Amino acid sequence: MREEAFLFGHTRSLVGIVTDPPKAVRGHNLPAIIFLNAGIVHRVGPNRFYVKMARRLAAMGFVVLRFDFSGIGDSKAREDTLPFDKSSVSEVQEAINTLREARGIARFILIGLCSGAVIAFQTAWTDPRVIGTVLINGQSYNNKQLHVYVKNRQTAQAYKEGISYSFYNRKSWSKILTGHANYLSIIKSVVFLISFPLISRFTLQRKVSSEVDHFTRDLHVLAERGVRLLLIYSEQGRDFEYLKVAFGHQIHQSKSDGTLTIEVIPQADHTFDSLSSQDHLFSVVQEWIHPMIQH
Amino acid sequence: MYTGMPRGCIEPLYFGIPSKPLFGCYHIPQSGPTRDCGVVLCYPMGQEYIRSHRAFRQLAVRLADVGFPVLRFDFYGCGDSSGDCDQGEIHQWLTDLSTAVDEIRRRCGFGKICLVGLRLGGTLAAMAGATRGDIDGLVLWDAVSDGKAYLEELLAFAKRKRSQTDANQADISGFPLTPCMRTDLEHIDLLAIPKKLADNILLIESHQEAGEGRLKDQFERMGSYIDDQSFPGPQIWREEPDSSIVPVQILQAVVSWISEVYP
Repeated sequence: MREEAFLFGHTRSLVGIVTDPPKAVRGHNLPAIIFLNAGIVHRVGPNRFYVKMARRLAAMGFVVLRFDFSGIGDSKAREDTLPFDKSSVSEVQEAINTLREARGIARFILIGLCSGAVIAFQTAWTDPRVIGTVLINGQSYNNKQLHVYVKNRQTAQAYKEGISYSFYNRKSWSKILTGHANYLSIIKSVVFLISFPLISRFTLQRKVSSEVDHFTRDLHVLAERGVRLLLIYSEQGRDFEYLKVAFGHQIHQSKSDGTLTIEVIPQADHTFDSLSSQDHLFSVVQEWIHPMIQH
Repeated sequence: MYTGMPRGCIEPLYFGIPSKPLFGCYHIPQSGPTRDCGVVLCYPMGQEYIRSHRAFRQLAVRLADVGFPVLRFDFYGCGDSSGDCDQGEIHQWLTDLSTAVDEIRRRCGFGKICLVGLRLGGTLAAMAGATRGDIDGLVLWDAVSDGKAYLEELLAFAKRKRSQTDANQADISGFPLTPCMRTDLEHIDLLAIPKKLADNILLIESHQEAGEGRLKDQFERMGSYIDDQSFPGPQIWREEPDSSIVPVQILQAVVSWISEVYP
């Protein structure tokens, strides 16, 4: 296995690392894999797991690139005014072009966590050279109402837990009765808990279900185009809420219909902050990608 | 790989022996007179590495802007360098640091070298100063002086995170702590180094750790010129990666001190 540092992009200011497979296992018809930054964590990924996964995938025969978007990690900030949602997609395409030139590969799989998942999804829409995506803990995929709804659901849940804890706690009652409680905060929690289901029922849920329909339709359109999609969610991450809203009860089936696969990693948090959850994640990705080698 | 870089740019590169290549970013000094000293930046380890990456990049850019060639690099088993996370050892990391010093000397041709290290990176910089004897300047930024206390801190962190910890391996928030590394860390004691580390040393302190004053006394006794500066504020290695704080005051203090010592 060999790793090489690259500077690429039209200003040669994007920094990337290509991991080449050992010659003995290099698959000549295999797609290349590109990892996209998880938020502002640089290209090694949270807990360095992008590096570990890139090396495992290279050991299977894939050429793998990890790189930093402009302004993140070692890549220089852009000097134009292109917004991030546009520049990021354009930079993934520059990465694709670079690998095409440097390694002669024409098909690509994108892997991203959190915002990286969202960018992978958007690029797959834009660029037909993308034949597969691994979307890890992607959140609302730019669906604004879904984002607001899930945030409010989580806030309501937190208020509910707080109130339920205080109700059975002697100290809380003592504070309320002696005038030492934060009454404004209590009133705010109660008002929110009463109003949220009503607002949800009459406005948010309708808008959200229209967005979710749109999102699932988008997924299916990609799947029909032949793009293989693997959606991975951490059970303990905040992102799991998005999955529950978007796919409802179907998530418990860890479903796969050939092109769209959904997997939930138990006891994992948003950034896979435990070695066992990282191992589980690797095995899910390896299992999903393995049939490509056989083909 | 792209070569022939203009001044003010960074060059990502692999260097060192082919069986254990190390990744680094070489910051070519900005136009203007180049200072007569190369600077090597030493990251901390594990989660602390991820959390300090942005600040280190900014520090390197600022140093290059005032004319210093800078190499910041990943130790073996860390970041983009070769090796797995469980293969790190203090002895190997000291070898890596020497390799990085040789690399920057080869690139810029200077004899003078200043090492800047945060937390365990600072400890390694200090140990390299004592071992090599040819390091001119050291910036020890909240360096770990007592390995046992550092180890306790790591294990307490793992416990808070409810990570799996056993006799063979502890899981420090997604980074393995091997028995070998535990033993290495237990033996760290900067106060016990009986040698001069460097001619000039800057001690940066952003959190109070027992023994900071004693470090200053010890290094002075060994004949180094010591400056110590305190910056109570965020400890960037403890902040969530999403906050990615850049401690501008500390970076500015480091750049000013190095610029003054190596005009």
